[in-house]
Amino acid sequence: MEIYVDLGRCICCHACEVACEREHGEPNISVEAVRYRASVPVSCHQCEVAPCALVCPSGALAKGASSVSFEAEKCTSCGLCLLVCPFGAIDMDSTSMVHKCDLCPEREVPACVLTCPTEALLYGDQEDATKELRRRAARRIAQSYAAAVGRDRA
Amino acid sequence: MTATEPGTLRLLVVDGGKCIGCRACSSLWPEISCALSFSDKGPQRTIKFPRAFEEFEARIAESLAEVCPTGAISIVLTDERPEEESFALSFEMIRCRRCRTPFATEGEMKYIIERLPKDLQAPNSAISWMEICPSCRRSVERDAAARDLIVARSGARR
Repeated sequence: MEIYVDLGRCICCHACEVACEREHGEPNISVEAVRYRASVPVSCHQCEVAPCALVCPSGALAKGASSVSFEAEKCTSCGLCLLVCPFGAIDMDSTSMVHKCDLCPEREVPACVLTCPTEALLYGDQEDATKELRRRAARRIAQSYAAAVGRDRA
Repeated sequence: MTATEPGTLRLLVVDGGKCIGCRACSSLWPEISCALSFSDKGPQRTIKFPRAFEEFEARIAESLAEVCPTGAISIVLTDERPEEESFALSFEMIRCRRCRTPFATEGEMKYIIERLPKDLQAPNSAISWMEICPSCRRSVERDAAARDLIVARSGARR
C-alpha cells in the first residue's frame, strides 16, 4: 500500500501537510508549487528496495510487506537515513527525532489522503491506484475530445 | 594528575579510523549534548567528546559505545584522571553537486554506499542521487514531476 498522487489535481492548498502535522506533530509530506505552474506533494515512497532500511544501523527502519516501518524507540538519530533517501523524504527535527511517513497505521486511510479536498492523493495498492489514475486520465481525454467536437460544430 | 579510586573513571576512547562523523553519539541524550558537541562549520564537521566519565555516569558511557554504528567508541576503566577534559575529531564534508552546501562526511558516504545493493552501485546508475543533498533531491524530484505535468497540460490545450 502506498500514497499515489494525481498531480493534475493538486492545488497546493497544504491541507495534507496540516493533516499530517496534526497527526504526527511534524509534517511528513511536503507540497510546493514549481514556478507557479504545477504543485507536487513529496513524501516517503515506501521503496521496495529501501535504502534507508538497508543503511539503518539499529533496525529502527525496516522493510515490511508493503511499507517501510519506523520504530522511534530503536532509533539512535545517527542521521544516515536522511543522507541515503533518494527523495529527501526523511526529516530530523530540532530535538534529533527522525520523522518519516508511516501511512498512519492506526487509521484505515492516512490522514493526508482523507483530507485532500481534490482527491489528488490516493491510497491503495499499485493496481487499485493506477486503475483509478487511468480512469481519471481517460475521462479527461474524453471530455477534451467532446469539447473539441462541440467547438467544431458551433 | 589527581588519583581517584582505582579503576572508577571511564575513559572514552574513539577510534578515529572507524568514526564516520554521524550524529548517533551526539544526539544520544540531551543531558550530555553539552559535553558531547556536534558542529558543522563550512566544509568541516567537528565532534567534541568528553575524555572521561565519572562512575555515576557509567550508563551514559556504555550507551555511547552501544549507539555507535561503527563500533568506534570504547570505554576503558582507569584510575588516573587524564589531563585534558575533552578532545575533538574533525571531518571533511562533501558538498552538494547542485547547491554546493556541505551535507555529509566522506565516512558517512562510504558507510552508506557499502550497504547499498550492488545494482545500485553500477557506474552511471541511480546512485548519483548521493551526490546531491537531501533538500536538492526533493527539489529535483518535484521539478521533474512538475515538468511532466506542464508538458502534458500544454499538450492538452493545443
